[in-house]
Amino acid sequence: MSMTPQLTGPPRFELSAEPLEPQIRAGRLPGSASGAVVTFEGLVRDHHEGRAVKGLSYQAYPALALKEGQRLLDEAAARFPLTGLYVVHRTGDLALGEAAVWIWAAAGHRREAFEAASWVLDEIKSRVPIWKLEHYADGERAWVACHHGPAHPGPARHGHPHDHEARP
Amino acid sequence: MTLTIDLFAQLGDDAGQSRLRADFPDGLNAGAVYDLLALSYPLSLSRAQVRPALNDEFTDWDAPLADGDRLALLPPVSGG
Repeated sequence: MSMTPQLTGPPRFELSAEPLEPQIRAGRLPGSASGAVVTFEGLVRDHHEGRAVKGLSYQAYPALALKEGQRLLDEAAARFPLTGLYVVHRTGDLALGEAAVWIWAAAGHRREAFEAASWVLDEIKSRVPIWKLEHYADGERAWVACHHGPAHPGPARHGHPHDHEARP
Repeated sequence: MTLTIDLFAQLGDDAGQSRLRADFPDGLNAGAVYDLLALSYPLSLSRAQVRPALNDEFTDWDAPLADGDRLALLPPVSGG
């Protein structure tokens, strides 16, 4: 008899206006069918395209961000053999080094957990209605506008070259 | 018809407000409302760059609108 991995609970997508440390430290119970847990934290870093960054703010469209976030997690759960999946995305003002997004993916084996966490992050970046406002050291601020949902994929559509993968 | 319009991120800055309520001619679709707004506010994004949402769900520019609807205008997202 082969065991099919079961989610220990439904996938959950949340927004948090508070620092993510409490949720992270609270931990999750991966369940005994889990052989691997991959945790990803996207952090606020001090530079973007050569400009010094002193902090950033995330604005969300909460009602739709929660719906779309939950949809993509449900898709991930159907796509990967996961035993647990939990995401929290920050809103509001973040200081350098703070976690902007936290992804927790548990699976029977490490490969699925890694792949699911990476897939979920890419989907968040491309479809969840959340926007990043960067505050620069020189006092200026600017909305970062890079992604336009699944209907308009690919860096060629953005018109400005930079490293999307390295951004939190 | 009276609409509530939420303008997120860059569009909110462009319009100087993140939410407005205004009267529009009956029968307009979401795209026509965006074009009308662009006449009144210096919106820096073209319609092709913006995604509409109607009453907290994604929609298309040709979606018909009704009195009391909430139309949200979403610039390209940048979370994660």
